[in-house]
Amino acid sequence: MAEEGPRRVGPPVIEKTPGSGLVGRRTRALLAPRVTGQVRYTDDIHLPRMLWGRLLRSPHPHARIVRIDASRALARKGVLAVITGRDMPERFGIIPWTPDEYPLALERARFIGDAVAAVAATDERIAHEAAELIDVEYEILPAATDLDSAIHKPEIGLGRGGKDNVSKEVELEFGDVDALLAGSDVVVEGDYYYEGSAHVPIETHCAIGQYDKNGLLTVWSATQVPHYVHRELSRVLRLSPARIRVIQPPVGGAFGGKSEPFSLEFCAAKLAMITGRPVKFLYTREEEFYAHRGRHPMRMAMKVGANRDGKLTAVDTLTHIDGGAYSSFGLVTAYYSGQLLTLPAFAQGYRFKSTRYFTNKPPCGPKRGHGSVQPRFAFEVSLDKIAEKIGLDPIELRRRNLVEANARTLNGMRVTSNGITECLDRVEAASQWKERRGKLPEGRGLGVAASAYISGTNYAIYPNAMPQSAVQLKVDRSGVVTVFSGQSEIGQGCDTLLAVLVADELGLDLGAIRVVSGDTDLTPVDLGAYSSRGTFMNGNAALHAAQQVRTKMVDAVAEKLGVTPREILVTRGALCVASDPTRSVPVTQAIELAEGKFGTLGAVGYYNTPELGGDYRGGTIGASPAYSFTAHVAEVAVDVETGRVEVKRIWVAHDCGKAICPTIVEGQMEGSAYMGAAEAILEEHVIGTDGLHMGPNLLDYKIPTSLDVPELIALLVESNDPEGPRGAKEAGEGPLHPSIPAIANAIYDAVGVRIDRLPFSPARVLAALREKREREHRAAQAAE
Amino acid sequence: MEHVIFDWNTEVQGAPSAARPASEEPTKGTPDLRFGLHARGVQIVDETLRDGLQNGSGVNPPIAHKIDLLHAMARIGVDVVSVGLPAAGARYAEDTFRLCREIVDARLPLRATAGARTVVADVQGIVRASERAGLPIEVYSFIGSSPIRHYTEGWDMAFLVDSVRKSTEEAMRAGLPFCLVTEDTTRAHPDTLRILFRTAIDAGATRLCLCDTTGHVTPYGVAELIAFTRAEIAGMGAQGVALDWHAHNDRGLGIATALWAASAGVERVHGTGLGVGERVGNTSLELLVENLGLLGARAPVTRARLIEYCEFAARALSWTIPDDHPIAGSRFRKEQVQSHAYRIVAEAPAAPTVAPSAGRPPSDRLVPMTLRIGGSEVELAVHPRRTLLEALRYDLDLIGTKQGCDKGDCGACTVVLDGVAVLACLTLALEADGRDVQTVETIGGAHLDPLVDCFDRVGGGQCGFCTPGMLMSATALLDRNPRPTRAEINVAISGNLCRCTGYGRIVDAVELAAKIRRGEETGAVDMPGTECAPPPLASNTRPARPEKS
Repeated sequence: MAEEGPRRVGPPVIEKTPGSGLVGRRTRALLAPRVTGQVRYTDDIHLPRMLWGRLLRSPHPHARIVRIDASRALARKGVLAVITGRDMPERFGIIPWTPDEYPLALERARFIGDAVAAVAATDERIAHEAAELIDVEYEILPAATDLDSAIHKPEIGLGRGGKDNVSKEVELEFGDVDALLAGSDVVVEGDYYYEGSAHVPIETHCAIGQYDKNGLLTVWSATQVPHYVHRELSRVLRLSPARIRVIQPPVGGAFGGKSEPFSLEFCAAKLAMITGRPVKFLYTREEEFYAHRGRHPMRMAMKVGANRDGKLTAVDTLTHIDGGAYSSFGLVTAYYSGQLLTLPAFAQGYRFKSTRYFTNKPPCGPKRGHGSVQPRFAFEVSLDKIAEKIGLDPIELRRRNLVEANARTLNGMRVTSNGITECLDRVEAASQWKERRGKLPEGRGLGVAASAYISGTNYAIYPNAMPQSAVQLKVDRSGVVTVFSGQSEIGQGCDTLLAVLVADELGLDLGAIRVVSGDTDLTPVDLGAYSSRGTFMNGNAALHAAQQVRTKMVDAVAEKLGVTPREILVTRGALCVASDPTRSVPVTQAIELAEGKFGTLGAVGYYNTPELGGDYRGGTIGASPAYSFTAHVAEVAVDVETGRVEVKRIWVAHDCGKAICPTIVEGQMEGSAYMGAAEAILEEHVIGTDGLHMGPNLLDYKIPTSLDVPELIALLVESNDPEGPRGAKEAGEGPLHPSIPAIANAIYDAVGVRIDRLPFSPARVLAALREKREREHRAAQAAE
Repeated sequence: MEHVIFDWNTEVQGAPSAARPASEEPTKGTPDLRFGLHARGVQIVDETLRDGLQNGSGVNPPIAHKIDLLHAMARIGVDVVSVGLPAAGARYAEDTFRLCREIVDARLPLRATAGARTVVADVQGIVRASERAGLPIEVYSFIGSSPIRHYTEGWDMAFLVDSVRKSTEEAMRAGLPFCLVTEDTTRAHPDTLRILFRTAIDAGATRLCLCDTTGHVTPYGVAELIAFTRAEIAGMGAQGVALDWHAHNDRGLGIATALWAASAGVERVHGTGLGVGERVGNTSLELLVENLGLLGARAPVTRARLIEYCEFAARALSWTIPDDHPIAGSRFRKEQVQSHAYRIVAEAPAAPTVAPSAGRPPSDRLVPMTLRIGGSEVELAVHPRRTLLEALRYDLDLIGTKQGCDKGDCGACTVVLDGVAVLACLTLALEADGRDVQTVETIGGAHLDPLVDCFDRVGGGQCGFCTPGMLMSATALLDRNPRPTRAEINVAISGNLCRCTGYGRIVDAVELAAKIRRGEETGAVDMPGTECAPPPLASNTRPARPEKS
């Protein structure tokens, strides 16, 4: 999808240096200042004369805005300004081809919760009260509040041009699917449904706008994409990007839910410009559920064929995606729902048709494992069904169909390192799969699933020839190195990762590294914390920069010690002669020597991907410089009386290439597996036919407490990727995928029922058990 | 009868007295006002919901307002509350019952009394309320005792004695304590009092209430009357009969006489909220509490609670707090806000910092309060509706405590209040007035708290947003249980939602921190920043001193 011009910069040359021993050590995360109130998150920032903003949201799922009268609100004491769609009549959207949102709805509100006006007032309570005083006259329009009405009532006209409700259609075919299926020994068909789920970061969205007397607009935002917020603010406010600074303080969880601009950033900025005072918006928990961008509901009809020898033949999938009111990342979602399925174990033929529809519901977007968690559920359950039909162990079935390392997938994706075999071996051994599966008492079962995920997308969201990520180093004579990075720390640990990589490369201690990240004025561009791109891309950029400094230090030390640079070894705290470590120079002195020899030290490093992807339309979506691999075994206990499923344990083996910070990688693996298990058992983002959320709060929308989580066993697998920084790949999203199908397959092992619709709630499990008993009863009667 | 009144202020003084056995010398001078000595532990009886309702407005407040006031009474340390005059009508009886139920259900540290005329039927009303509510109610049975009352009512002594005896016996049958309230005692003849007291005590009364119902008495009169009564009780050989003092404000001396009586050693003094009552009113209870506190006779009560009490009383009585009320008047509070709560003025200029007029609802006014945060006192002023979370984050800039849902679902705002983990978003700031609050900023003091240390080492935090709440829940746990099991840790943090970790590492961290706190493990190992650090720069080091020989 990128315009590939001749001047596009490729990946830099990064040396394979041995490092100084910090990589792979269980270092601290260094989060004490952040968790004890010494560092401010966005909502912790109070500026002088700051006002509070509040959005008024549509109470109708689909309505034309006839008239807005703010006079009652403006008359309220303490209210300074009210804005509506007409104040910012410019569309925006994270994908440059589908801008379809306004900061405040201009003519039509497209879901309950669509922002239609914003108020700035002297305190939070007045702002909330004043928003209710804005009178909006609506003309109610017919609405599509579920997938079926979106499909069957094109006249509602939510799509482009108003002729139907289609957001994006993708149809791709690799190989002769019909012939392969026709020639298969077994074909399993299934209809699978995923209802949708929300990110639920504990920190809700927050943004502050400030417009200073020099005409500089500063926006602090709890975002994971400051660079894109910078661009979209410029576009919507019609303000030069040179007059805008976006600062991203530490973010209290995001999971994909903060990876595009939202109404609040524009409104905070606009109201700050109007009033001349800083304006803060903080979404309530309820607003968080309506702003949404969570995982898409998907209906998947999937056929998978196989032969008796366990070789998969073809996969044929028809997918309907409920996109909600706006495009968001939807174009990518539609591709990802098919493109990311071809690893790690796949067939020889593949056809998928995915259609994303608009509905009058909160817009869906990317959530951890964007677009691919739902089809992964359908596919891995299909494999379990096939394994049973042909009498093969499910792990063995996967082993017989694995894509190798250094190979190409059926849809043309380049695979480099691949640790899936070890992942399967590890979970098989750790769970005592062979000894226990099928032999556990009634109600207990084991299930397996595997998956792969991208380490960043190969191309930027907007086509350009520039690097995807960059890091700047500033070296102080005291031995302190400051790392300036545009990457967004959202809890995934990217600041720690940068500190470890740079310290390791330069022989410094972790305490000598300062990381400054997420500030468009201070840091070079990084595209943001999405698509699991941080470690791979930002890590490579950091290494690229650090190696430039390292080379100068090594040269200067070699000169002083009278040896060639090649003979110098960087160790922790000192640079020494490799053959005679007694001849050494402390690292801080090496910095001074280098500065004396070369002038002021500093460096800029970058990373861009090589040219990758399949040679067809959409062939670059899903292309990544490296793929991570995961296998799960889940153990469940099913109570046949109540239908309650308890996930007892999940063994998570994940090939992250190289664990630069093992504690953090394991944290990502466990956090992913837990989130997946929650989607399997508890979470369901249901919008009623009236367009209202069924429970936009943390009591009704159940995320697990400490008493609800399975035991999580993280098993690190390191395949040492040739292009990753020190061999590393992603770990933040991949390990979520197998959770749901592994649990589904474990339920089947436990009680013999397949539940092809999420979540596996007690009611669904009980219904499935009842149906199974009736089926068996009928079969017994027929046999008599 | 020779006189329509008997004047305890003058008639006894210096002369052989009908009131005093001849053998005793008259008490000279005013009562001893060394409160610490004589008034220590004096109990306070709140008559707002009985006597206070006899004000000119004729309003009987809704029960909800009465209940709110009841709680406010408990918060300012009132010992005894009058729950009304159930014989005044069905609604009064029902309210008496409801107030008693509230005392039982909310476990309020209040003893209940109720008023009755010295009539058996009135006493029976109290007995019924007591039995229904399951709460003993002291019967405060009143009867006119001065000659002028008897003259007006046409009562004779036989009638009085009969009434007192029957009423007392009725209470005794039900097992309820009985107090004889002699109205207008300060103008009653000693002989009459002697007979009434004896009758009641003989029938089982354990308490006598002396009244200055018309605002008549002087310090001398108070001392005389109390000395007389004590002597009478002693003369009867009665044990365990205590004295109450109940004074009206007809000469503006309500609070003064109550303090005199306290100094003269009565066990209980009466008052009403804002001094509201018959005619010009009663003894002002909030001033009584304040003065007894300042004089060292009782534990002091914070201003914020007294103001809250006044506001609830004003609401219940449909009363307006005068601008110059010494505690809750808007003028006084404006000065206080300006002097003590300068932070608020500086940081939130837009918010109303003073109560602009008495017409505003109480919730719009700022109330001064104090918090003990990490051991140091912090003064601030808040709206009564402000939550502790808002006060911490917005007023004190203690932003370590986070807001995740503002409705008690997520636990991110957990702080430790007097040793207990509470949700700051569901706690009103005023509930924490004068109490000890630990926030994530205060744990560990200047050092790295073992919990923070362990969260950092084992991956107990990722985005860090739920972590402050987790740390506080864990702090409360480890403070009360130094050796928790994993299951106990899981329960302790089950009200804190985390979206990043899957909780396992949080439990690991708490377990490890518990070991460090018990001294079984070393804390804060592997801190970065020392291994490869250069020596301090030469210019920053002090030149070495030459060794003294």
